[in-house]
Amino acid sequence: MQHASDKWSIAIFVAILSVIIVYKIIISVYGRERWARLGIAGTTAAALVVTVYLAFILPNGWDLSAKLIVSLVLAVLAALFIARMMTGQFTGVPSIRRIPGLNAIDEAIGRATEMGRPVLMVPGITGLDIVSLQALSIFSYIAKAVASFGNRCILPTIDPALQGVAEETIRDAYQTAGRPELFDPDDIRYLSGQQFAFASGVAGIIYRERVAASFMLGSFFAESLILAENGQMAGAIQIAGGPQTTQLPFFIASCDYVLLGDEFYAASAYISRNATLLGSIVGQDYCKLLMISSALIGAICVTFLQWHFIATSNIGHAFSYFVNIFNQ
Amino acid sequence: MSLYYRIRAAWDAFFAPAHGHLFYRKLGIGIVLSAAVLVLLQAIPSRFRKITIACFTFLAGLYYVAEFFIPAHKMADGSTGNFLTPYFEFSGNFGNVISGFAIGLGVISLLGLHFRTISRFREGWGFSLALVIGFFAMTIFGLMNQYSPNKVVMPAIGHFAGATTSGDVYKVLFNGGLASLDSAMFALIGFYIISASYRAFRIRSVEASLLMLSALIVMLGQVTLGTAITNHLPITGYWSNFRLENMAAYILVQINSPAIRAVTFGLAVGLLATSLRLWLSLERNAYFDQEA
Repeated sequence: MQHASDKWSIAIFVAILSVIIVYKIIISVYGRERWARLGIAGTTAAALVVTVYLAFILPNGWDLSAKLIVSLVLAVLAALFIARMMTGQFTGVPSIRRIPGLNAIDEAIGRATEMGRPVLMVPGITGLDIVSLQALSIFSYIAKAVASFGNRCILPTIDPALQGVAEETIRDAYQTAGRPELFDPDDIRYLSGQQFAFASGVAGIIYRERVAASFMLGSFFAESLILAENGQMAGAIQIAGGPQTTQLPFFIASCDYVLLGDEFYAASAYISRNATLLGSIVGQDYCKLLMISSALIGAICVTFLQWHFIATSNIGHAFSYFVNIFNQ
Repeated sequence: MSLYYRIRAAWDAFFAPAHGHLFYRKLGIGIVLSAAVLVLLQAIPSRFRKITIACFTFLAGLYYVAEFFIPAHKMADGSTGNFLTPYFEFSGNFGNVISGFAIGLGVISLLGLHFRTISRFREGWGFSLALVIGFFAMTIFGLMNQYSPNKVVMPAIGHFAGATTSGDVYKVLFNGGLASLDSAMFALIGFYIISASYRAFRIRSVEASLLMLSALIVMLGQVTLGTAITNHLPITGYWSNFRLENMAAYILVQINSPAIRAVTFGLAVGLLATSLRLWLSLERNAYFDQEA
């Protein structure tokens, strides 16, 4: 290892990993007893001590390479999530603000059931990745509700690997709802691997099947407006969301409800009301708070550095150091 | 020679490129080992399946995390990396192999659905027939174009038409069919934008009015007509700020960009959280019944 920063990266990574593993073992073997919590707290403290000790046996010098900064930021953010996820089981369910798009899911499914028309779920046009898996986790809840109402749901995919996972997820949802006989594997379809061929296929499904509710959750690109407008023209109630900020304006113009930004990632926690998942949402908010604070401090530093007498003083050097950390 | 280096040498020898009989022998060994692993996985009792899946998920993600965090140094071939970096391509090949199998399953599923529709004369069977014909035509002429592009599929018709080769048919199907249909679908977006904008930009409230005004300024600022409207204003100085293109740029850069950046921050944090939840198998309710 060439630099001090490298050992910091290793130390932080090992510390977080060891805490995660010990936590999982303690929880799975001993449950959530009081003394188990003490064990977890003790392990976390020990990991911190080890991290600091490893840091202090380094040679002198504080070499802030870009890799170290990324590692530190990732480690701090991950530690915030994980800590809040772990404590989420002990502190109870935190309250989350109302998200209209998610509250409208039941309304959309109920409307489709009353009209006797199916529900369409589109998981985006990327393959099997984090975004589509998150979309599938939301669709699992939707499918359970659809199955409990005795309705039908159609899920077209652009990736054959995703189709296999989606078929099992929706089948399990129907089984959990106690209506396995209603599940039709032909409703989980691989249409095409081409973007616009997929869009035209979905548009055809919207018109032929006369869907009454359309959920477009996942990564969408140019075809987003094609899907949304066709759903609008068919009279379907539409709920959309995804990580592509460039497609949000199109969804907002065409859909009834849109999940903006990280509401998409919060959806599974919001719907399930699972304490661990909701804890991760709180952890996300802590991370955003940290980022906003860093941005504000940076803005203040840059503002004060405009004055020469501050820029040349000791405090000016400190401001400059802080700003340069994020300029690597 | 230590055990590690012996195992390493055997591993490298097994995965080294091979030809002829050695290739088929290695292929056979690989198939037998894969089948054995699949049988073992199927034999796992159902109460241990979730923990098995969680372990595999964790180990698969651990490689990429460890490869990122473990410090890099100069390698023998001049590149930068650590002891895990040479296996990056190898680990990515797992995903390629699964994708290869998945494509086969996807094609079987697609053709099965449409053949059933055709055979039972369900509603829309004509479209399914068109799909099947297009699928096989593209497959056959695509393969012919790859391996024998100059093979004549239709002889010359006197002086009316020259001989048609498989490459010609492929070009017609691809450029005339697929590319043209792609472009047509893309062109529809222009009409959909008009209908969506007409519906969305209504003056119903103060916020909607602001939205419409800013959209009007930005749209006019992008076209020469908008530039012409305020062309009489000076290019520099105070009054240049009221030129439509400058107002549009101000709205996009000073107002719109920070908002998009803020949304992107939230998305990045959410993506990190979701990735951690999936890697550590904490996303229970969708993929597992109950949390342990």
